[in-house]
Amino acid sequence: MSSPGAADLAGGSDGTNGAEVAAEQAPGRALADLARQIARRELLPAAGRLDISDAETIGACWRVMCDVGLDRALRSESEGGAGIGALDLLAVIEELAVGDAGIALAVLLANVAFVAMPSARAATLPPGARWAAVPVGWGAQLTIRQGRLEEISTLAFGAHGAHGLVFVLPASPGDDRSRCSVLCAQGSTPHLRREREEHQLGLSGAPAAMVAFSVADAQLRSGSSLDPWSGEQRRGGGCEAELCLFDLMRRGAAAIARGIARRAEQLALEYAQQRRQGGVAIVAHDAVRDMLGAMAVRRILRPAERIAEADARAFAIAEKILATDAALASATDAVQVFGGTGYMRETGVEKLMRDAKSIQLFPEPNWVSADALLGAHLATPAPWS
Amino acid sequence: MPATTTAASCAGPPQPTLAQRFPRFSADAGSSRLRQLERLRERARRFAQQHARGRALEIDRRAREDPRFFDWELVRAGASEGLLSFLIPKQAGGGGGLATEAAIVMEELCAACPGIALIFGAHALGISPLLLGGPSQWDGVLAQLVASEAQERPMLMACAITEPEAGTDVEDPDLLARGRITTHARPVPGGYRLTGTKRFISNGSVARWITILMPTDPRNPAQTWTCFLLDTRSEGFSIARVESKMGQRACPAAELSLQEVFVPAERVVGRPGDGAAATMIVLACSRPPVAAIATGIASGAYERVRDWIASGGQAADLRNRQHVQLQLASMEEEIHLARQAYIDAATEVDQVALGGALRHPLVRALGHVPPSVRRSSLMRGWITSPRAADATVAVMRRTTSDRAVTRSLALSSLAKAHCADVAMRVTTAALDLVGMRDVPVRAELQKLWRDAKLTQIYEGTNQLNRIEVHRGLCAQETISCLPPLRAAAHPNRESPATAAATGAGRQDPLIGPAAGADRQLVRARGGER
Repeated sequence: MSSPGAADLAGGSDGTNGAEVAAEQAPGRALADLARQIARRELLPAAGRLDISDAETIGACWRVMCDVGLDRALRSESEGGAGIGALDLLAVIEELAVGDAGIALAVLLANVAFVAMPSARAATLPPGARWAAVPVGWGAQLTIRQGRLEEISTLAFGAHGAHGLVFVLPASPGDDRSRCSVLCAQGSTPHLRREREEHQLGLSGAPAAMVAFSVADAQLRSGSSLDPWSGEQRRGGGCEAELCLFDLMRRGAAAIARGIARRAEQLALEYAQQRRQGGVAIVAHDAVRDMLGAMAVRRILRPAERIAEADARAFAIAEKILATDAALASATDAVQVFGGTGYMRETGVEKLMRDAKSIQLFPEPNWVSADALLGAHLATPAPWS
Repeated sequence: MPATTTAASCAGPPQPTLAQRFPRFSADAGSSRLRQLERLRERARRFAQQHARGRALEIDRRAREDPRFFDWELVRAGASEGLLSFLIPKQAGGGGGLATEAAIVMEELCAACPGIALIFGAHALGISPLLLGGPSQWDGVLAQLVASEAQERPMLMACAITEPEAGTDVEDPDLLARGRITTHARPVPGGYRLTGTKRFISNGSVARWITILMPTDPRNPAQTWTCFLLDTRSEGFSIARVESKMGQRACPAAELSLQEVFVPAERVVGRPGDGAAATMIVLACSRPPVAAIATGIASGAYERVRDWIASGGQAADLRNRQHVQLQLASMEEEIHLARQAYIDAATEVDQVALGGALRHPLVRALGHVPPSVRRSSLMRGWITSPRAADATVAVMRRTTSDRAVTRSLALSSLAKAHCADVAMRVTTAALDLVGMRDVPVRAELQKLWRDAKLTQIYEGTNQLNRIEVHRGLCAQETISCLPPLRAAAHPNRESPATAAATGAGRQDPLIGPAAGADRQLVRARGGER
């Protein structure tokens, strides 16, 4: 199986920086440009309907993603993908998140799902099928009897309405997630139960559901009523060794957070220049300038894209913590700049705040991420593992 | 390193008494005042537990689907506990509560559902300007509100200040003078014609009466800012729209459209032109309860996540984590300090800024006059006369000062801004502890987090509130918060010649010498004026 994007995400040893590599990868950059246009033309006008998980709107947006191969962008073109690297995918996701963070997350989850499943199987899935990766991390419930995993239940973004799910979990209990296992389940399997989350806070373009997957039953029936590869466990999660699917999701979360923060800053700046109070535009008030300045600092101070391979895991975690905290701070400030207007749904600013809080909890809350960071950095297992 | 403990020690403690929650009250242990507060709090808690908490998520969902959704059953249930009248003066048949009572009720209600609490909070805000109107307001709408509550046909009030082009501007006299005010109360024979749009008015679409502020001269808004009591059944009044909000959805926020709505002169609250000063006093009174709203949101989130963790189950792995224990301790700490901040501010309002006027012998004496006598045409004529309005201002000026109200406003603003930030921090931390676990408490915490954000915005943004803190406490400025002793010349008021004939401006034998002279809305640095 190929390892699309693994080298990109892990970082090269040739000393090149991210910008140089991006310049060399014209297809990836072109796709990011395309994603920017899609975000502006397709996603931003639909953001209000995406925010209420309107199925028709989600379907229409998803078709646009599939038409340009973003649903499986990490796959080679011969496999129906776009053949881009992980860094380029992250740039694409960031651009999409400027339009709608929920759709950006759905693209991330689909790419993780497609990169995790066997190439042969991925090639057989019909175009347009939306698959979603489900991180089985902190907070998920695992039923284990006699050392054997029997059932997984967890709350998962993008799980509602997906054609199939790919569960990503530690290779074994106590694993610090440097390696992952995957379990694939088609949406039609009777061993998979899904219940739509009724009060989804944000990222509604990736409708969340409570999912429960009876692994034991699926394995028992494997080869009969189930798809042959359903229930298969794969060490390494379809990536070659160094690339952990959890880290790809964390870096994807960071990319989504950056997109949210950019949009929040953009809206706040525009509004601050238009809105007048006290006889002047509010951008002239220090109380507002302080917030706008802080937003700019958070945007400018983004980490380098490439780092030494040995620190790739720690970097992914740290980047996720930093970027999602920054996004929540910027989105919260943006609502504050708007004042009462920002609290109203029609402006779309408060949606950014809800999206930012939601991505902060994916694939685990940041305080849990920090535990994982220490585990990766100091080889100290997290207490919860 | 994980610390071990038992489930029992994590379980939610019984509700503390007010004296335990606010140690300063322990000095009043056994006093009738404390007993009254406890009873009021008990009524609020009973309503919150029986009617609010269990329906909060469902109402939130329905109001999201249809922002005009409103549950009158909640209002009736609240009315049965006296939650619509506890702020109305006893002379009008109400509970006679002030900022402290409002704050304690708000915290209890908000721990259950801030949106439902806001229905009662916005109602109280609508009443507030009428309290400043003194005895002239006792026998009008305030008495009607009490009667309607007793008859289980409750009426709601609202207060309309914000305009589409002026949010922060209308909450500060300096900014008001330069603001883009688009409303106008045009003087006409017998009253005024009100035109314009008011925005984000909580309870605006369901209120029977609205206290509404706008200028009688748009070219000079700060000097002519005036409070009117608006009957929402008046011709020309309509609801332009109801907003779809991020949170606190149980209470609708409406845009009000006024097209030449006639308001008779007797429904001017206070005196024409006194609205800017009245707004400052109202904000001093209303910000402690808003701080309590925020504190209630924080305590609601804290208690939910604490109890969930103590219950074990899906949270069993959290209970012994030091990180979790530190987070819970931090929440407890922040909420405790927030409570002290809002009760400090409420006490200052009640004792220093406003309470003196209510305890003034003239006001107390009028309160002993039987309502039937007070409502006689002769006495009613005097109570509602411009002379009586001047006397009401004179009482206020005699019993408090601009500096005292400025300081009170600053303390209220301090509490409001601080508690709102606490609400955001605590609800955010609570959500982080639950993460993506599919547990019922998660939906409640998400809602409280959405609700919390509004507390940093309404009643003045936190930034504006902190500017008030700087003015009143850091720079020791004095704002002209009290109306001038004599009203400015106005088409609908007696002429200067008439005023001279009636003796306006002279020392009133009933009230005593005035504490100051006429003044404009200006600030002075350096203490008492």
